[in-house]
Amino acid sequence: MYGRPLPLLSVVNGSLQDLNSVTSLSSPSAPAPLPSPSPVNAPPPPPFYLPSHSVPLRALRQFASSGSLAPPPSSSPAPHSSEACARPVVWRLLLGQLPPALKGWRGAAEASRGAYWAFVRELVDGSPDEEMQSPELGALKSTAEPAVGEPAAAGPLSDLLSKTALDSASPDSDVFLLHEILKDVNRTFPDLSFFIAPPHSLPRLLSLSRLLFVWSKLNKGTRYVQGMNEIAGVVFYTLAAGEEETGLDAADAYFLTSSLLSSMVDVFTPSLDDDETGIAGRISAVMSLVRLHDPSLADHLASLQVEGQFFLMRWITTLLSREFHLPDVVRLWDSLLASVNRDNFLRYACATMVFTVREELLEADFSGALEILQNYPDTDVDQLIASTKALYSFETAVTQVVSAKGCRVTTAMVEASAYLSPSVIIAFGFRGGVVTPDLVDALKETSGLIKSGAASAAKDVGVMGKSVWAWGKQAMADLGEKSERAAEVRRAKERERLARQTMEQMRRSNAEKADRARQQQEFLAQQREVLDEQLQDQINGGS
Amino acid sequence: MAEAKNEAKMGEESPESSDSEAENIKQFKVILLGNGATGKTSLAQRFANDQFAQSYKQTIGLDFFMKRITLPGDVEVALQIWDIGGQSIGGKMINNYIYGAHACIMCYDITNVDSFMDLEDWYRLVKKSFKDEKLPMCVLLGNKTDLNHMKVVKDTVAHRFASENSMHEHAVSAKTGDKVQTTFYQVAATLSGVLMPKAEMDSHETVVTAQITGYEQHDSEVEGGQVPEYTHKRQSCVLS
Repeated sequence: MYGRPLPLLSVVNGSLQDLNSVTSLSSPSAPAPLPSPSPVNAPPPPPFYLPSHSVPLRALRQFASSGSLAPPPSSSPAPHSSEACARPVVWRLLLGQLPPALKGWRGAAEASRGAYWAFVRELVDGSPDEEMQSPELGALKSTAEPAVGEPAAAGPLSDLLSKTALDSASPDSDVFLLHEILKDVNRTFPDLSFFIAPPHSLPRLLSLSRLLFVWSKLNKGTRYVQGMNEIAGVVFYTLAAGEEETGLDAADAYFLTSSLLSSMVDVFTPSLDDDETGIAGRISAVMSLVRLHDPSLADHLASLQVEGQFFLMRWITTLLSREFHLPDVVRLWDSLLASVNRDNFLRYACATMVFTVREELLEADFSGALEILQNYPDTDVDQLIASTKALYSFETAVTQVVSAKGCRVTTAMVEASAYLSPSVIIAFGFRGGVVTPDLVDALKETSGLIKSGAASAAKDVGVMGKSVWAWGKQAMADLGEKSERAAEVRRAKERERLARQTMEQMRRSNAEKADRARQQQEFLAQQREVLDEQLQDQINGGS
Repeated sequence: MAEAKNEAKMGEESPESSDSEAENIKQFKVILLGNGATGKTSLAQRFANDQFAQSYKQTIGLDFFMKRITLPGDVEVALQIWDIGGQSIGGKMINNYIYGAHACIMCYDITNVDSFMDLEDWYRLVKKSFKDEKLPMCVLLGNKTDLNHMKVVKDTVAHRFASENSMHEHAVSAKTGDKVQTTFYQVAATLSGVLMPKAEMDSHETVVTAQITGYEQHDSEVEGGQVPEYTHKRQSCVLS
């Protein structure tokens, strides 16, 4: 199978069988890789090819973020379906739980599974509270008999919960912690058959509780905080899709959940509430984004005294898993996990959610607004994601444009608001399922205005002039220096020419003088000859 | 409406009323406090929407409900129910929820003694939030009376806590609906200064009869084997 590019799904499937074969729980009749079927109503996903040896993470991020993974199942994960198998592996790759190199997968899976069950043996099997013979801890032991699920009136774990003897348990004890966890796990997705229908609900919920218990024991600074069960539940549900019905190895879910929770530890730490990374800090970061892009909406919410914490507390601590149907949550998380900055993605997604219902909010009073924000209306998550990305890239574009003149984004947005109709931000993505091209055009035009505005502003502050002046000064200096040197050369040449001329004249006059001297000598010689002849004649005649 | 809420939030108005000019309906902020899984969300759902589900997802931060009711003498009031997550007690932001409340309903589960004992902490938080101001109306509410056979919080102990802190006292079942409407109507009437005749109170309890069938079945099923254990436990955890 190696040596030529392979479509992602078949590689993932093949390697998934490798992963499955690590555990004894894997099914002998593991699924044969199916040809990846295209969804009926959707265009086929763009092809994603893998080199045979390693996963290109950058391309994988784009692939996952664009929604190209199969639509998540709506009620219960369908085991063995080839599309369902891809997501668990992709999520583990995105969070670094599997290395990009395919040959490292098996080792990584074995290592994490070994580590997790070692934690369980140490922290659950060997808990000091075991002396209290807590039935709850007993049920979580690695050696516990597989629990049999009975339909229970008040949730699958209610029987176990009602057997607790907490009276003498200290708040720091394992039993107390576990009781807190069980109370919440018992109501994790209470409307999803995957978690409430026998016979699998009880072992699944116990497995989920064990996971949270181990994490809390290993992260004592944070311990268990409500909402973690929701995050673990989404991970658990998604990973179960890739595995044999009862064979989901909680170790994989544990490390994936742990990776998510660890990056959010500050959110769950009350002492960091007011810190930038704490919950209050993140809430106000979303609200300032709302104010930045939609001041009139922010004013309206402020006048109603609708505070961010009234709805954002849950949105942020559960990574939006409580606000949508589970398949939509899973789709949203594809993009969230694929994002290189998950905190930022969440922040822009929350702001976009507020913008999406802005018209309704503007008409609402206090209770109406909370009603909308706490029971968020059905939303197309693909559009929400597109809108989130658009909001982010718009802000990035504005930032780049205004940074040239050293202007703050906030200031620029306030100045630009004259051009921006309030719904432009939303329209850059979509709203209510309707794309509005005219608004996209309007925004493009606005971006143009902002750009040219920034350019003229740059002139105003003299950035250009300053540099021209500096350039000219340099050029003038250069020029002056050059002409001086040239004059020197010219003068030198002139001197040389004059010198040569003088020499020539001297040489020529010398030659003339010599000529004339020679002519004189010749003349004198002739004269002497004439005189000599005359003398000879006189001598000869006179004699 | 908005103005009325602002006033309520600011706590500047007398807690007796905050009139809306537009509709002239009094609005009251009623907060539900108490440990997780004591049934606060169930109570709010039962009162506001007359629904009950076996389990609700845990409240993270705040769940908000709104209900308008008509008191004797055609007095219309609106109750804002702020259902506050049980784990909020550790966070810094709880003051925002508590402040400005006209009534605090302190909820415990009659089958869970910790949920009752922890009300001390919740009540301290309320007093801290209001500092020197007049405390809002406080109600001690025991939930899950449908599980009376598993009750571990003694009446005498609850009475003492209520009278020591001048709280009104009610016992309800969000599951069957027993006394839920009565309690909220009583709160609304007290806040608006309306007298509630006994007959009028009972007239709001229409749901209960239908629900009791399920309750009895559950009851007999449970009594099958587990009563001695709980009886034992009840003796071992009396508050003194």
